[in-house]
Amino acid sequence: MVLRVDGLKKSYWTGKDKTGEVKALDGVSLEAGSGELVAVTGPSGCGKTTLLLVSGGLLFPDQGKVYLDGIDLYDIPFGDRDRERAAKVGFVFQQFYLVPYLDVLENVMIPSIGTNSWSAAVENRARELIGRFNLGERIHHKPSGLSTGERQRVALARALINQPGILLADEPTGNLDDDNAETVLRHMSDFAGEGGTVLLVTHDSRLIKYAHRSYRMQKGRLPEDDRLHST
Amino acid sequence: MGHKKFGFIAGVLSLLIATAVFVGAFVMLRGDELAVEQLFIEKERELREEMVQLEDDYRIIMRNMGYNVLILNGEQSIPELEKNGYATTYLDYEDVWVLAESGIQTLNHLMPVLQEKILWEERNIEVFLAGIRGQVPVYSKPAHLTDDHEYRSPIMERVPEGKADLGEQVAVLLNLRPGDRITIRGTGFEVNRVYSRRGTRDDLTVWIPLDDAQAILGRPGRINGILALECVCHIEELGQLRSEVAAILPHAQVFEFSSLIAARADVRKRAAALHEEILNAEISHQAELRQEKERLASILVIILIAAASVWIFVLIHNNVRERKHEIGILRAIGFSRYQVLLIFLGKSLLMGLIAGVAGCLTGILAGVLWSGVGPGLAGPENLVTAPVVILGLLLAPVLAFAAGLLPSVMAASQDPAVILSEQ
Repeated sequence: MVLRVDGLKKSYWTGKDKTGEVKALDGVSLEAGSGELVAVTGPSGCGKTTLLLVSGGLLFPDQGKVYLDGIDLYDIPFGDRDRERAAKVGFVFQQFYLVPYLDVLENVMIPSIGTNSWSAAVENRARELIGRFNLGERIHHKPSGLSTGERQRVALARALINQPGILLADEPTGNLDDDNAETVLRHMSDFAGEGGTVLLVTHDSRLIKYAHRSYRMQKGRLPEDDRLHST
Repeated sequence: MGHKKFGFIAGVLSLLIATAVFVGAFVMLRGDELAVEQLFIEKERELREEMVQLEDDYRIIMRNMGYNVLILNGEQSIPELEKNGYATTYLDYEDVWVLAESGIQTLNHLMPVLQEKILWEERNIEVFLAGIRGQVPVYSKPAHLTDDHEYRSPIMERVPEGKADLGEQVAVLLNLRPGDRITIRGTGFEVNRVYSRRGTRDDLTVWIPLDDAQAILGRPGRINGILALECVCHIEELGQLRSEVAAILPHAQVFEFSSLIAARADVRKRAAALHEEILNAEISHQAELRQEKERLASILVIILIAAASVWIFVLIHNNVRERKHEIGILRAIGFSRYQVLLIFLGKSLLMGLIAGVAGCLTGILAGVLWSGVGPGLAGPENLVTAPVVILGLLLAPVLAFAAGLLPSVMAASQDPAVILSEQ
């Protein structure tokens, strides 16, 4: 699956009278193809998360286009965009955002409710993912009974349950120790290795070693000459 | 939902209380209504019984009073009658037979009398001399309709031939006893009986056979009154009696001479009116009481419904705030606004459904227990009506839906990008 963003601009307005402009995205263009793990690094507040949200169809850009497998995400009806996102995009966040009253299996399966595809096959896939991420013994544990690394692996399994073509990860290792960060990144790398597309945004430049390409973002800009690493 | 058990239970409880009070108030008001109805039925029954008792008393009074009415010559002046104590105009003796054989239904026993106040010259004392022939029985049916000449049985014996009955004062003043011989204007009699004191004019009366009285008073074939004994009519029906007598004896008039009967009848009527008044006052009081109870119940129900609505709104709103990241991630992973709306509205509705059923049962139970309606009076089937149950079952879900709608819409409308950016 190919993700292409073209000339994205997005500003936030601050102050009482909303006159203070903060340019989160200032003409960002980027492409990530199948089998690629693309990393975008940069300091906090440089627009990384905005880039991820706009790329995932969650935040309207002020200007520019987002194409997912050739479909302009912001040129289709709202409901269709929700469905596109549910079917094709997986999200991983630093805060995990697991549903606290659901156990591991239910949390992993919850996206299938959004796509109305809850079935025995989905459950089998969930169990398979849980096993692959070494969470088999925790399958019926609530998030409060899991370690942070386990929680992030659950979040990753949840992102993969609908077999998305692209994984959007926002600081996925921000709360993890090195070992757990390593595990999570390895799984993401495996996903890319299986033909998936990964867009990873992080402030941690140590992660670029896992990326096929990486960019450094500054003040909403992603200059071509700021490409840090390419494999 | 498990992690918000307290909020959920609190929400259910608030709706349950509102529903229970709503249903309970209806049940108790219905119970109150039944109790009041029963009270009125009891009071009406008591009134009827008292009226029957009064009727009996009245009949006893009538019977004890003896003569109820006096039939007089139509030209008789009543003031003169009152002044003299006897009529000064006369009827034919045959008139009493005409009346008796007419089949009149309102008169039972007729006693023709010729009575005047005379100076009993032999004893030098003024007495009332009354000639009576005993009673003339009244046919039970008009004469032309009856074959067997059935009579209503007489209740008073005539004065035997050659004998006289004395009032108590006459006997005392003249020192007379039964068996003594007396002479009245030259006609001799034997004292038949002496009546005990009555405290009336009768104490100064001498009763002799009518024929003798007509002869002594020089009025053969004449009488000056017909006493009607055990009149079966009520005093209120005197007008009817007058009409009937007038139809048979056009030249006669009916004089009701017992003011005591009228007084008693008046008392009876006033007692009945008083009972009616008390009953009406009770009805009015109960109606006012019921209105007051309904007003208080309405206020209480409205306050509780409002409080429950606010409470549900606050609970759901807080729940939305607490779960906004969850909402954000759900939206991010593909949940539509509609699905998010359903999650929160579903929770509200679930609260409402549980509270509706539990509240209805609680309200019915409390209402039946506290309605004060005895088990013999009315069962729950009379206290609990289908519309109240349906309203009770609908109240909580509708309330929960209405109160939960706004925060649920707020939840569904949250921008996931904004929520997720907050991390």
